[in-house]
Amino acid sequence: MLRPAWIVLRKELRETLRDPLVLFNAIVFPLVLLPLVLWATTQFALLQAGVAEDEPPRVALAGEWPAYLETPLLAEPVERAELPAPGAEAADPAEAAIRAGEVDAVARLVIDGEAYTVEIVHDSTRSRSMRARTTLADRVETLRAERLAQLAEARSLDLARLSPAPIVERDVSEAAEKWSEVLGEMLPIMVFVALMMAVVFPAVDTVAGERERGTVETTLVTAPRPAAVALGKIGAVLAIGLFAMLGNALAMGLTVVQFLITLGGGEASNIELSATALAWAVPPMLAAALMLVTAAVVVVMGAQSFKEGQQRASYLMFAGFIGAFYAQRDGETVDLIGALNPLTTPITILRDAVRGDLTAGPALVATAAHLVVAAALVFYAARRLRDERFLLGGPATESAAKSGLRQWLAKLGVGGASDRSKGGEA
Amino acid sequence: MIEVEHLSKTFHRPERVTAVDDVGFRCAPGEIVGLLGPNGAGKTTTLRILATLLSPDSGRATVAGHDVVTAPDAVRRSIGYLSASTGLYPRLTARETLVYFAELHAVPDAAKRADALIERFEIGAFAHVRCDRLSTGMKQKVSIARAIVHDPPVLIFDEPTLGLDVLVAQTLLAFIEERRAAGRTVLFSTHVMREAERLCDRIAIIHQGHILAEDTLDALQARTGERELEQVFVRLVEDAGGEPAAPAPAAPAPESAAP
Repeated sequence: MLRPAWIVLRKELRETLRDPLVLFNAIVFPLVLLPLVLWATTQFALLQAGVAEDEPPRVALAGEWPAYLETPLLAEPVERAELPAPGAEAADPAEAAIRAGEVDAVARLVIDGEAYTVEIVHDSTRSRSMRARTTLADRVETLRAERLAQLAEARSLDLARLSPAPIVERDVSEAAEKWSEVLGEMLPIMVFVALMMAVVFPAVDTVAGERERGTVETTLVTAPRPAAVALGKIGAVLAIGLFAMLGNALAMGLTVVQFLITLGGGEASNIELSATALAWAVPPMLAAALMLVTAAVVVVMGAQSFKEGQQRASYLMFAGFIGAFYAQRDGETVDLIGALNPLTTPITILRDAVRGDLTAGPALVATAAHLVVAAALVFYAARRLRDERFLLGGPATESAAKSGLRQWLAKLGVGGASDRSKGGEA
Repeated sequence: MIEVEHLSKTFHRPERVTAVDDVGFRCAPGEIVGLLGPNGAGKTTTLRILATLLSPDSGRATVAGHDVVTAPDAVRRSIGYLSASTGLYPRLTARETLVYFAELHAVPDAAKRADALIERFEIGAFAHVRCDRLSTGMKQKVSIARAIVHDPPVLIFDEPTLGLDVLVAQTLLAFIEERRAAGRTVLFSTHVMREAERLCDRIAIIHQGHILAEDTLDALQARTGERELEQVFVRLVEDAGGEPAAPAPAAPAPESAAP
């Protein structure tokens, strides 16, 4: 059976790769355009950030600030701005000036008897205003701490006692781990998207397209068994999908790492990937690809036309994307029980591998689970290919009506299948 | 050898239609049998059952001694099937198509066999052109070469001259006669009376899923008293009077045509 399957596979690959639409959807889009879009988006965001960085935030002071505090508050890179004189039309000149874009933030000193309060007026929807706010807040906090220290010294008080229970944050994660976590969240989804985009069109073409063109008949009347034909077709779609998936994993991996390094600076460049964990991810990911490809072929087999095949495939892609995001919701490392769920492991296994958490047990269990589902789908596809319902579309004949689920239901006395069967025997 | 007995097939799309109803005939080696009938008569359904693409609801059919239901793999190895559509892969060249099907049928030295067929059917000028760029006649030549690439003992052709110009059609008919001379069993469907008159040793006239008559042209003419096959056909349909005639008994193959 393997030789005919190999012959069908070669033919399907040759034919499919001559279709420009397949080449675009399966190779150009996931391998070139997706990374390019991410790179371009990053560059655009950085450009915007760079432009904003070049412009110093404009800060104004309001209230009776002591002169000795004005200098440290308005030191570079802050640029001093003046508030317009209070007018009848604006209840709060600071707010009016910020809303008008004349000032980015205002530090207002409010004196109420013995109590002093510093109010920082800003606009959180503008990045330059947020930078001004952060700069002002940091400087006020520094001045406050210095003043507190002076008062404590003057009164011979222990400064630590004046600031009870200070919060000291201690992050146990290393920088590399944090960025691996981010990469682990992003990469599986992108690889999944690339795989689905790559396989959907060839699956539709090789199944629904062949039926529409009438070419499937000529193959089905040849010597090889339908199982060999089904295996060959699935193998060809899988080969295209794997090429796109692996290529995309590499392309997107490099792009995402570059993206993280750009955003995270030196920290992100320390991303450490575990070769062992990544190696363990290979078997389950290959099995997952086989499972998803076979699912796509089976879903498309029920289509009456090429157009309906595309429609069904798009539903499958949509369901797959929902499932992929659902799988990401739980950040827990996959255990042996979790590895039995073939609906989530195509995502979570790769995520764990990028994190460096994947071990042999879950990897092997997930591989087995994927292969079991894939084998069942291949078996179903082979049977369906032999089934006249595939050629005709739907249970259109007496023979078809007498087989499958309808017949089981008829035996159980459910539904109207028994009547149709009797009619056919008349 | 093809033997068909009491074959029936009903479809349910959009409403219940019995496409083939109690059909029976036989076709011996070295014999050409034409399945003659108008569009929708049940010709294609009968041929698809013989090619194992459809399952009969009832009845029995054997091809080269193999039952189409219980031994479909053996049947497929024994037949060359030409569907009503050319059924060629649009993005493969003519030669690639022939090599592909030769390999599928496990023909030894598939490339050599493909080249021989390219020469036999004068495909050489367009052997390396993709099939979606070929004319209807060119496609049909490739399609026929594809169907016989494994030199099967039984040929089943569904409307083989459909859409062909006169010259290509003549080439095809000459090829079918050549196959008969080589002792092959040939069953083909057509609604072109002249083709049936020229080629067929026996003719099975099918109408609304029923075989109205199956015999030699001479016998059919004698039975109806008509000279032209077209008139024979009309008379048989009229005689059926809406109530189709019982299937004709299968006639033995002419001894001279036997291998």
